[in-house]
Amino acid sequence: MLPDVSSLPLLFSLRLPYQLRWEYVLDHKEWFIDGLLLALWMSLIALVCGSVIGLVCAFARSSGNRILSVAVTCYVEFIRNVPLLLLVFIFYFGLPQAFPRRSDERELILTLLPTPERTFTVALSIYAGAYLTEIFGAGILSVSRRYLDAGRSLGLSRLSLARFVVGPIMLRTVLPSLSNTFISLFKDTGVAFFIGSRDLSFAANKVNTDFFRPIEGWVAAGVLYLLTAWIIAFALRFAEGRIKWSV
Amino acid sequence: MSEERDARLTSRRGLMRTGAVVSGAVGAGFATRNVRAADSINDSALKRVMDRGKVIVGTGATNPPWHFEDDSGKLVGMDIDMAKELAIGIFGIEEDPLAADDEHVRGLIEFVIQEPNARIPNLLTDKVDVVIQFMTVTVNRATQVEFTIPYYREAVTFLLPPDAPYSTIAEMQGQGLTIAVLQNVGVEPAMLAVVADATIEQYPSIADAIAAMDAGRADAAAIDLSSGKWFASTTPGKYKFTDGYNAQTYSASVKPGDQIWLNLVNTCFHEAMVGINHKRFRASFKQWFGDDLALPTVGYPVEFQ
Repeated sequence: MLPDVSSLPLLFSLRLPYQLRWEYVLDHKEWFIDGLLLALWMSLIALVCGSVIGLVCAFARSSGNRILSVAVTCYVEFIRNVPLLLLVFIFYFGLPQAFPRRSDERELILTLLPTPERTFTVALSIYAGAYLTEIFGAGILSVSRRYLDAGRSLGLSRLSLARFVVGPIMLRTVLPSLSNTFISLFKDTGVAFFIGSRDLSFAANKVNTDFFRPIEGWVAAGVLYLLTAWIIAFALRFAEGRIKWSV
Repeated sequence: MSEERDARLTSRRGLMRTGAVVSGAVGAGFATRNVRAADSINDSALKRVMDRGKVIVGTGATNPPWHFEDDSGKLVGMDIDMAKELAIGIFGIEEDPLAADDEHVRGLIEFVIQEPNARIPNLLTDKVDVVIQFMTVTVNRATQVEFTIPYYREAVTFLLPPDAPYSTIAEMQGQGLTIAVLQNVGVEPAMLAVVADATIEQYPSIADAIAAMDAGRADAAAIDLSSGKWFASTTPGKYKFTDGYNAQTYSASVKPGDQIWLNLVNTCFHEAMVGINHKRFRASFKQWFGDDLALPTVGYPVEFQ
């Protein structure tokens, strides 16, 4: 039996103690669109930069050099055991204050990290780098010994072995984990709002502070986070499915 | 393959069914909640507070001299003192020596620490009985909550580094400054109306706005004049502040539709400010703002002078 549709207007307009007013979101949809694009952009940059950091660190750790291995372990353990927000605050508020006002060092930091967006992207890249080090490390370990032996028997140097044998095989193995990391980084961008970045969370909070409409603002942001994460997940899963594995 | 697909579809259907149940429950919750005005004591927050033996006060913890933690981690400040006045009034100990017992009075209050942007939502969802958190009265906000009588007249000032080459709002014009400010209703046009060529950076808390200035990411932080005075007096040499502008009213707020509760909060505040409990209010005012209040006059009511 179909529900009584005639009662819906009553449900949504008269009986609710909190009347939903979506026009506050729709009239300012550019806040949400700009915030979403900024979040995607920051997470994409962080994924790329984090992947470079992760690759370098993973190979450094597996190189057999004890100093490099300890250094990478310290980096990974430190980053993985502090909240992202703390890292962002250290980069945004803490780093410049480590040096006196108007000193060259402080001016350099403020020149390199002038905006909340760039500071957050750098912090997120370093944060992602630690997780990606572990992911790439696991990928390297998963490369079968017979491929390494085959490469060595051909006379490949360590660098060539990493570039032509371990790298391609490992990348295929870790691709699904990279997808998950990207989605995770995209959701992490909500933290950027705490240092004044005008991302999706900023838009939601602005609807709250400007019009006292917390539910509409945060529901809209939540739906956008959810839909975008789903679309990214489906797209990347489709891409993974198109690649024929032959490891 | 087919089994796997079926399992996935079943799982999706299950998810949708769960979603529908949750949505229905939320919808039902919205639809059946009591939205009548509290026209008898039994419907009023006052009854809830008396039955509970505690008043739940929404406030902050990071904004001196209004609400912040002292060296021992105890919440102090003008808002906290107003909450104590309220508890003293509600639980009828205003003429009892217990009113001077800080521990006893605090035992009658449950403080809920909240960000400024949670002030209205927490009231509307009954998470707190009253918000006492340096809340500026605006007509727009009054469409969402009900304000008590005011307990302070505030102004906005710009907190500046001590070596800033400007000290007044007039001198800040034309400098291309970056101003850090609490994300708030209409804050950007309000700031630009005062310093037209400024860049406005919005932060979720005043502490973050000040931290941004400390880190050199902003040239000034827009804060309350009372807070500016507090920082300048408690951290000599670290800050200076400009002249104040844009006077505004601070009041507590309650959920709309509960006149009995609103009346009681108003009475507590009124008697603290100009009535029988004036002595404690004067002491608080002196402690947090450094100002000596004149004694209320005798005879003709002060409200009509």
